Amino acid sequence: MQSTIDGISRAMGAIGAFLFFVIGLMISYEVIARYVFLSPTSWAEEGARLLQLWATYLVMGYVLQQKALIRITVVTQLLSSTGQRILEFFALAWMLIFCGFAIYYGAAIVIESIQIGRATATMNQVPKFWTESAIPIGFFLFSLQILVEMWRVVRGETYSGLSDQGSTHPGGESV
Amino acid sequence: MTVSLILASMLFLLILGIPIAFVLGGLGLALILIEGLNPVMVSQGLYSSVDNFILLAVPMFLLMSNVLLKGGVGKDLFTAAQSWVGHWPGGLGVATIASCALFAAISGSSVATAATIGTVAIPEMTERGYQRNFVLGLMAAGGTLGILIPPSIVLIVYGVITEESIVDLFVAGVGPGIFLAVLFSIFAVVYARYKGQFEMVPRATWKERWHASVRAIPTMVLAATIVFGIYFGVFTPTEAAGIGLVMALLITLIMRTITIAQIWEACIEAMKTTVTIFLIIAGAKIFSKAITLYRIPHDISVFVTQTFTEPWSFLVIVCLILLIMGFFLEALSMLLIMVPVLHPSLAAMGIDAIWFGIVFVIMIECALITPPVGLNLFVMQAVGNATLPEVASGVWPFIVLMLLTVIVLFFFPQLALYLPYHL
Repeated sequence: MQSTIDGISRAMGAIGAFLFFVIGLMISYEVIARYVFLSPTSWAEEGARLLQLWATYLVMGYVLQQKALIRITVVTQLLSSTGQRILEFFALAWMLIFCGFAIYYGAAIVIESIQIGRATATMNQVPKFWTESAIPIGFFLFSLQILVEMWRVVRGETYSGLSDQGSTHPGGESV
Repeated sequence: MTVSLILASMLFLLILGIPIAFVLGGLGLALILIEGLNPVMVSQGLYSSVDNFILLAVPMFLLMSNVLLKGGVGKDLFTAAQSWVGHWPGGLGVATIASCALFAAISGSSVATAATIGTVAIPEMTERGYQRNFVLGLMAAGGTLGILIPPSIVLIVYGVITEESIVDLFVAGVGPGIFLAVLFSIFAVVYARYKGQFEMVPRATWKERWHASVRAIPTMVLAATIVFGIYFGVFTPTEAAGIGLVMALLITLIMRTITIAQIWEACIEAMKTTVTIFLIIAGAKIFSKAITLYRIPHDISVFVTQTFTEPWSFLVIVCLILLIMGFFLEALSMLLIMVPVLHPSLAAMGIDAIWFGIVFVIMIECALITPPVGLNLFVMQAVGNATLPEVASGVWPFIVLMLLTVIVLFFFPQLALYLPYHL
């Protein structure tokens, strides 16, 4: 089960990376269509935003798995390993509660959009639930990865969720 | 009382090691629940914060910088700059800063700038006998130019949360960016003359200069396309980033300096950074909505106008707070926590929001190189194979120069505002 969820998160990471690349091509095509073909598209901007929402929320589990979430560890790294594990568990639980609200109310918005047929106020009139579904689905997958990390903390396995170096994440995950 | 309680809770949760995005989002949710409001605002905030065309520039610029980084563009830029100024006393330091400034014009990230140029400049400078802590400090500070000289991811985020023009912010960053680069270069020359413990680089021949410059031309064309394309309204910042990405791919593929595997690595890294940033933005959006319901920005604005009669006293306090926050918080978190709270006070104090954005970014640059959590310090540790004390001991002169730039900006706001308002 644990490895299946880890695998899903990794797959979502790959999909997210690919989607961001596709977004880049779409935006560039829009400029070419405008200046070279003199025919701007109606779909590039809307499509790019749609993909951005999905790419962002699908890969949260992967980002957690890869220790890329930024946090302050000035104090926590001074604690004993048991103390650190307790706080790590608490941090994951805090995130899990947040996920619960995001999933519940995100799903409520999706259901409402389907029931009343809400669509974007653009030429394409894209059904809103196409993008809104990214929130409950993304946070559901994220909460699965959180549960896996909580299980790791309980079992005392090497924690793979949050940054453990320096005081905030020192890698390339910020600007 | 409410403000103190919220601040104390935030600090407490941050210290517990909860990721910053979820401290902000969770605290916002708690405030909404306490006020008895509908938590559907949380999901709406998560949606609206990412459903934003301007923010698309963030992954695009990150992807472009990562492609250029993997494609070894830093080496071409550094070699070109070195061929022109390398033989001066401190010339390698000047070449390093010039390469950073040039790379900053194609990258919106300080991490990418520091990593790209640092990989080439650090070994070259240390081999020539430059003091190691000076080299690491210079490189860490030079990297921060990445978020001041346009395009800048931090300025994009500032523009999104304050609804100021991204183009004006970009253009306003040019003057202070060049000013800071010149200050760093002057310091490098003065330091080299004073210390003198380095081996001079022989003057490059005209042929060598020509060859080195030709290799750097595609990158400079890319920089010019982005900056002038945005400035002359040919395309939006987001479109510029998309075009920049395609050009970066073409340059590195044609020059055969990148492989498909490296492009994929660049995609993965850009995706991780983007999502980390977007989650903090989403959390900050929920938090900002919640504190607005409690009228906190309004109360702070009233407090500020009643307490500070002159803008300078307000700015001194803000800069001090940012300097202290910079010791513990990462750059974007500082921006996303402070700007929604401070922005309403700017108009009341008669402070230009574009000018304030530039001052804020320079303070963030300080935060990027102040220990213990300056992100560029970590980058230098990794790139320069150094210890934190080694890097930290070299950055102090540059922090002083950054603070000096803030003072200059206060007395000569035109340094930032001339271009956006007069051209």
